[in-house]
Amino acid sequence: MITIQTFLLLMVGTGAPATLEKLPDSSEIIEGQEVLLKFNRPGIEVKAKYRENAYEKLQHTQEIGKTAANGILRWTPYQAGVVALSWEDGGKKNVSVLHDGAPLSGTAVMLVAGIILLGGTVRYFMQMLKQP
Amino acid sequence: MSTTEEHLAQTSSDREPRGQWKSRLGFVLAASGSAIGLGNIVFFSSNAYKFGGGAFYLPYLVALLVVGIPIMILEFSIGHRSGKAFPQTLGSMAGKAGEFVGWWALLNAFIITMYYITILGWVLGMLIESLGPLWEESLATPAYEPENLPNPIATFFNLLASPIAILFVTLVWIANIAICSRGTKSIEAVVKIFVPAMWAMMIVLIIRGLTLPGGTDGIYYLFTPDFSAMGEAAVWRGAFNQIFFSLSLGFGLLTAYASYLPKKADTVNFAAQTSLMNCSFEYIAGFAIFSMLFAFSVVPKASTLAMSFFILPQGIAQLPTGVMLFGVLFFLLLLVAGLSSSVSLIEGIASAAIDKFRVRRGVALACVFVAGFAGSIAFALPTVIDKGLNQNGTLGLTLIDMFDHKSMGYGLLLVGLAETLIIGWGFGMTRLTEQINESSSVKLGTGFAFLIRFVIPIVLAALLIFAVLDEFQKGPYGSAAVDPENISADSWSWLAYGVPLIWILFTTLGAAILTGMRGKEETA
Repeated sequence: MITIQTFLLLMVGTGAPATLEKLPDSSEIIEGQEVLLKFNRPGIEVKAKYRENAYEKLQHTQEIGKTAANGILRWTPYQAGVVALSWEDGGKKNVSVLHDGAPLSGTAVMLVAGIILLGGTVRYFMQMLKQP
Repeated sequence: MSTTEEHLAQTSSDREPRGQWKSRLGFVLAASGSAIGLGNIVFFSSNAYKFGGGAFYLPYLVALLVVGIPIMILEFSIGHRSGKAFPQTLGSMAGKAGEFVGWWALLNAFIITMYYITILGWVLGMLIESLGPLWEESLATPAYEPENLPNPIATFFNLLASPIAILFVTLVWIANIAICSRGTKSIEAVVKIFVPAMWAMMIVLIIRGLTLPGGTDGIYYLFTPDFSAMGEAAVWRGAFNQIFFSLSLGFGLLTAYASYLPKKADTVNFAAQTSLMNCSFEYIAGFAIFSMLFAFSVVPKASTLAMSFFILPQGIAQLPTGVMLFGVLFFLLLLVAGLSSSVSLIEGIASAAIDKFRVRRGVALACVFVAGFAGSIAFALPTVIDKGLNQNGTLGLTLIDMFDHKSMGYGLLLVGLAETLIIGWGFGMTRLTEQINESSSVKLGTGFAFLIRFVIPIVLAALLIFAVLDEFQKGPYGSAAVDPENISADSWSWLAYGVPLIWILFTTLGAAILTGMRGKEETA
C-alpha cells in the first residue's frame, strides 16, 4: 500500500528528469556482487545492457527494476565488462564491471593466442636469421 | 622451355635493374608494414569484441592457418618466381585472363588507395589538432545541426567540412610519392624506421593502458570468451573476413613486393613471419585499446573510423596526465602505420605500370599520383549532406563507406577466389610447390595444394555468397545512408546504385583496357 509520503514523493519526483546521483567507485563494481545505485527520485526503471555494439545475438539486457522510494536501486551485475545502464528520459551511463578474480578462460585464451602468434613470429624470425 | 618456365626461370641478375631488397629484414619489415595498417590498431580488437571476445580467437587462428598463411605463401611465391608485378605474374600463368584478374585486383586496390589516403589526411589533421584544442571538453560544429559534441567528434566533423582537409590529403600523397620515388631503396629505408617505431609506440600505449586503474581487467574483458558465439556462422565469417583484409591479401601488392626478392629467398618463412607479425601486432594492440576503454568505461565499436577518431580519443581525453602526449602518440602511430601500408598500395600499382609499359619510375608514379590524387580529393570534398549526423556527414565520408563495402567486402575476396582457381587449377600446384620448396626451409606437402585447390576457394565462395544474400535481404548497401529522410538533400539517393555501378565499370573496363593495351615487352 502506498503511503501519502511516498505518493507525494512520486508526484514531486516525476516532474524532475531522472538522473543518476551516485554510483559506487569503479573498483567496487564486481560481477556477481550487489551494488547500490542512487537516483534522484523513486520509480525510475533502469536497464543494464551487456556487450553493447557486439553482434546482436551476443548482446543481452538485464531489467534491473525500479528505484525505491529513497531513489536507491539494488543491482547485481551478472557479467564483467563495460555495461551500459539506461533509464527513462534518455539517461545513460556506462560502468565498468570488474571480474571477480582473474578469469581462467580469458587468461587461457590470452596465453594460447600469445604463444601461437608471438612465439611463431619469434620462431620464424630466428630461423630467418640463421639462414646464410 | 615454355614461355611460363622461361619467365619463372629468370635469374636474379635479370632483375637487378628493377630493384631488389637489400636485406631479408628489409623485406619482412616492408611486407609487415604493408599488412599492419589502421585496421590492425583499432579494428581487430573491436571486431573480436563484437564477435564474442576470446571466442573469436579460435575461428581467427583457424582462418590464419587455413586461409591467411597459405594465400600469403601463394602471393609471395608467384611474385618471387616471376620477378614481375601482379598482372604480369598472373598473365604468365594464365594468359590474358590471368592478366585481366591482375589488373582488376590492382584497380580495386587503387580505389582503396584513394580513400585510404584521404583517411590518412584526416589522421594528419587530427594529429595537428591533438597538439592543442582537441582535448577541450566540447566544441560546436557550425556546419552541422548538433550544437555541441564531445570534442574529438566535433573536431573530426569540422575537419571533414573544411577545405583544409584537402591540404592534408595533398601532404600525405606527397609523402607517399616521395617514399616510393626510389623504389625498394627508399621504401626499405623508411620501413626500417617506421615499423620498429610502430612497435615502440604501441608498447608505450600498452604500458600506459595497463597502468590505469582497471586496465588489466580490460584485457580480461577482451579475452574472456562468450562460447555461445562459436556456434554462430556470422562469427566464423567475421574471422575469415578479418584475416583476409588484415593480411592485405587480394590486393596484388604482396606479389609486387616479393618480385623484388633475390632468387634464393625463403618465401614460406617470409609468409609465415609476415602473417604472424601482423597478427601479433593486432594481438598486442588489443591490450592498449581495451585497457583504456575499460578504465574509462567506453563501449567499443567495430568500425575503424569510429574507433580512431571518436572512441579512443574520448578515452585518451580522460587520462589523468599526459593527455596531449598520448594523444599525439596515438595519431602518430596511426599515421605511420597507414603510410607504411599506403606506400605498398602505390608501389603495387606503379610496379605493374613499369613492368607493362617499361616507363621510368617517375613517369609511373606521376600517373598514379594524378589519378589517385583526384580520387582522394573526391573522397575529401567537404560537402555536408547529412547535417543531423544521422549517417555519415559529408559526401566524401558517405562515398568512402560505400566504396569500402564494395572494394573490401567483395573485391578482395573475388581476387582471392580468382587467384586460387587460376593457380590451383590452371597453372598446377605440383609445379608451383616444387618451385617453392627449392628455396624454402619448410617444405610444403600435398596439404598446401589441397588448401589452395579446394578449401580456400570453397571458403571464399561461401563468404561471397553470404555477403550477396545479406545484401539482397537488407537492400543495397548504403540505401539507408542516402535515405532522403536521413539527409538534408535527397539529390544523392542515386548513390546506393551509382557507386556499385561506378565500381564495376572502373575495375572491369579499366582492367579490360589495360590488358588489351600492348606493353613494351610484348612489342619487343
